[in-house]
Amino acid sequence: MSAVSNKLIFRSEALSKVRSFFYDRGLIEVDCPALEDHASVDLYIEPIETECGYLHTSPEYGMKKLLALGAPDIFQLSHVFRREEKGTRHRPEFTMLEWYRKTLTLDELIQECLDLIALFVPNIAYERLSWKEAFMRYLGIDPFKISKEELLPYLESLTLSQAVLDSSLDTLLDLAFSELIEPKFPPGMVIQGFPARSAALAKIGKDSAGNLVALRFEIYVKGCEVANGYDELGASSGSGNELKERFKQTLINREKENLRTFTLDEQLFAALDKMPECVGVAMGFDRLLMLAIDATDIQDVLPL
Amino acid sequence: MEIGTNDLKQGMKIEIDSVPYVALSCDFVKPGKGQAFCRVKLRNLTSAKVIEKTFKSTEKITVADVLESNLRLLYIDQGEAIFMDDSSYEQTQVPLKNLGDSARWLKDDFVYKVIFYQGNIIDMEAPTFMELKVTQSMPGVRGDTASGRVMKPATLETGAEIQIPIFIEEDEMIKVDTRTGEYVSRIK
Repeated sequence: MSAVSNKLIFRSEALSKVRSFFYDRGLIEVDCPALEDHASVDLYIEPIETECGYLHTSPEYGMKKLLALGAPDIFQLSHVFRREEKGTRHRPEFTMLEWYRKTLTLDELIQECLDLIALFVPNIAYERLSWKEAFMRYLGIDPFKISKEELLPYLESLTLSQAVLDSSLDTLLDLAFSELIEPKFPPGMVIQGFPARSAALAKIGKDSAGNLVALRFEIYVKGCEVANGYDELGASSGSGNELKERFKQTLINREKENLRTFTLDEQLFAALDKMPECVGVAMGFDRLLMLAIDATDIQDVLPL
Repeated sequence: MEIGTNDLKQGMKIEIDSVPYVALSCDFVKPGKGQAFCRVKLRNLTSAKVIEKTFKSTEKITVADVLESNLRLLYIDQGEAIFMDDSSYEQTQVPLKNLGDSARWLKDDFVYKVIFYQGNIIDMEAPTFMELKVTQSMPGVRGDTASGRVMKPATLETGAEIQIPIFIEEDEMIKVDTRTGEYVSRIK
């Protein structure tokens, strides 16, 4: 059996395992189009434009439109596209697993993610921390109170270029989290309580100290970020308008950074006004496979 | 010329604050769903020190005017080494003092890897192993091993001063590792 066959069999069995997991739990699979009339709106994700539309950076918008039309709990396993993302754990085209649950709480969704991950990376005990607690434990600082000047000495070991040193406190906090804190995580970690600015399409709440936080979680397995989930803004939260405002702000921020801006998808906002309350999560399918076989490069799990 | 840090590849020569580096590795990092960065490992071409630096993936860096050439030493004349490019027959004259320590491995008709930065030679690499004649060394006294000495100083035909085993005499050919200046073996 050649190495190529082994790789393909492994990947095929993984796809099948994922599908069975969700069919057994009563979800149905959907395949929303990858080619959309409107670009995804995010400050730091660049969509790929074609002559006839934009390739989706995640199936989120399509799936939410389906939920607004009355779809049951759904999952999608598809290729997504992001301009210029290439590294040992990134490719411009990769496979995203995304699903939405109308009947689960955020905590129940986290457990469902851990159950799925266990099929690929078993025997991991997961710790739970808030974003702030992670900073306190691993760097001894309060990310909601620290100033940029106070943070810079902690980043010295990263030998930042001048342009990075000139970036905002938020950017430097994110860098500190991924380069100084994530590597110190135990094999299983769930982080919640991200700052409100990273809420994307999620609800915003307050932590015990009164800081505005996104109702969002991320799951790290062996130091690698694998899943990103949210308590989604739904109809009851006046979400159509809320989302439109957030998108407008994102476009303004993009313009400030000399990034491309786009037209807004009014249909999406109309759909969100009808979307039931739900929780949702996006998981890097290729990364899950990498972790299952301790691969160091995403190429090790891709067919070509 | 400038390139985006995102386009930096292993082996590319870049310049930061007028110092030339070669990129050893670059990894794309995307923390917190925020801005993307590139963590780059670089080797300073003048000091050979390896450093790491974190750039924004959208930052532009300058491509260094660095050229690597394999040049053949024709001869040395009045403190200068005359090299020739075998494919173009172009000749380059370099003061020996510019070659630093590497000059001790210069032997006529051998090919050396020469690195130019902004038109000036900043580094030269001799072939990893060279067969050179011992031109000067005190005769080894048999039985001297009692005192614990197994090596003795010697000068090679290129001027390099290294340690050789005491049983090697003048006029013998030996194989040397030019990276470390160490005796490897005797050539019969």
